Order: sequence, then structure tokens, then C-alpha cells
Amino acid sequence: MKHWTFMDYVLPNGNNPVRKWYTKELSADEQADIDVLLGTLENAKTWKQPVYKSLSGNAQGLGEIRWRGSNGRPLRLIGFHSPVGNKFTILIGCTHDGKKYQPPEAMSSAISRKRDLERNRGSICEHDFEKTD
Amino acid sequence: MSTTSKKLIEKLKASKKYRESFVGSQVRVGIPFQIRALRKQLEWSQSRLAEEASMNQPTISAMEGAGYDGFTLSTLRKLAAAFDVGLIVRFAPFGDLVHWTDHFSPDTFTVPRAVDDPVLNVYEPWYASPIRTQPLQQSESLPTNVTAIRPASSSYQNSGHDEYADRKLEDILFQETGTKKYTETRSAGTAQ
Repeated sequence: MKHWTFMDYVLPNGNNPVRKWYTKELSADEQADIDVLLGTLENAKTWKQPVYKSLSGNAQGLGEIRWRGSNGRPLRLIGFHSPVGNKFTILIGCTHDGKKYQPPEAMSSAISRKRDLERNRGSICEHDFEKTD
Repeated sequence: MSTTSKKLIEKLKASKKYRESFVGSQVRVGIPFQIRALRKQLEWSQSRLAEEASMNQPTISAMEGAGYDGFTLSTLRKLAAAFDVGLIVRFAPFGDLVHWTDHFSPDTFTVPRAVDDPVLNVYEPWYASPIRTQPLQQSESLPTNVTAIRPASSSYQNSGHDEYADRKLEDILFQETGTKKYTETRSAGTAQ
């Protein structure tokens, strides 16, 4: 049973930064890992650590999907659960080396994008990694 | 067929490289979810699992993280032994992997341990069988209305057989014959 649907954040200009990150920044192995990971999380009613962590502070309301990619590099998908519709919107994909995100502005971008959506700027589309920009 | 399945199938059809990666992802991403789910099923801590599998707790913690790249067959066999469950390693069509990915849920994934495995625990008392499987080991015949006799094989004697069943047979024979002449001795495993 599918509990969740994944959505991607789409910039006001129509570009999908999540899809771009997936196709440009990740290896084939890492891309397949995401697909299996999200396929599994779709079927999980509640997401738990270590795969998912709710964020706090400035990032209150956001959460991270966490896993290790090629050569053990920590990868993150930052997003949020919609209060209705059982949707998880992915705002940005990034790496997290120690305590720093790469790109460094990843968290602030995620916060900003969520705020934009709340103000009806930007949009979301159903997550679909099979297409490329 | 779900949207997820359709997307995966399209990608698998389009790229051999993706197919190779997808197989690896079943291990790197899929196995950690299974380990965690089985550990939770048993209400074990990571330390307890580490102890049962002769590993250390940080290794178990790492193994439960999606993307762990250190699984070997030896490791998986250790974990299967610790959980007392089976482990299937076989070649399979990609359709099987898609189906598994589409339906696997860590919420509901459970595997019965050997002690709870229904196949290993189908027990039919030997005396309930209508078929006599062992020839009589005596010169005298049992009464015609006694239809069962304990097997005489040595394997049976060492199989941890049911003491209650033995006593029950003695009762049956005694009732049927009115004598202890046909009472079985547990040591010989044959009617006397």
C-alpha cells in the first residue's frame, strides 16, 4: 500500500532543481539508490531514523532523507510532509560532509523554497526522475 | 501496476548500466531496511543483535543505514543465523526486483524465526497416522483394532520424541489388550 507520494519543487521559471541535481550530480549507482529508497519510503507509514530525521530550529517543519552514496558520501534530500494529501515535497538534494552541506546554501535554499510555496511562488510536480532537463 | 513500478520498468528497459546499479541498490538500500525491521520484530537492541551475530554495535548501526556498501555473503549469513531465519540468494528476473521494490514495506516486513516457522512446526503425532510405516518387530501380532506402532528406527529414538505420546500408546495398548503384554518399552522402540 502506498502511503506517500513524492513531489519535486519547481522553480518559478519552470526548472526542476531536484531533477537536475539527480541527473547531473549523482552517479548511476546513487540514482538507483534513490529510486529504491523512495520506493521503500512510499510504503512506510512512518519514517524513522536513521533514514529520516525531522529538523529543528530554523528548519522546523523540514526533514531529511539520509543515505550514503558512492564511496560512502552522505546524501540528503530535504523536504517536508504536506499536512494533507500524504505528500512529501523534495525541495533540494545535497551532500552533507560532517556538519556542512554541499552546496553550502542548501538548507537556506530549502527554507526559502518552502516559504515560497507557502506564498504561492514556485510550484510542485510529481516526482519523476526518469525524465531529464 | 503502480506508478513507481512503471517508472522503474522504463528506466530498467532503457539502460543496462541502470540495471546493474539497480541490483546493487537492492542490497545497499533494501537490506538495511530488512535488518532494522527484523531487529525491531524481535525487540532487540543493536547491541543485542551485535552480540548474537558476533559483530559490534557500531557495525550494526552502519548496516541499518541506507547505502551501506559493506555487505558480504558471510555477513548476511551471520545475520540470518542470529535472527534464526533463512537467506535466499539467487539470480532473478528484473521483474521480481521491481515487484519487491514496489511492495516491500518496513512497516510490515516480518520473517518467522525457525521456532515460529509454520513449515518447520507441522507436527503430526505418529500414532495419528492411519498408515503403519514399520513392520512389526515381534512374533505376536498386535490386536487388530490397534492400528499404530511406534517406528523402531534408531533415529526415532534420538529424535526427542514425545513422552506424552509414548505414555498415550501404553494406555491405548493396555486398554485394547487388557494386559501389559503389548506395552512398548521406550528403550527398544518396538512393541514387545
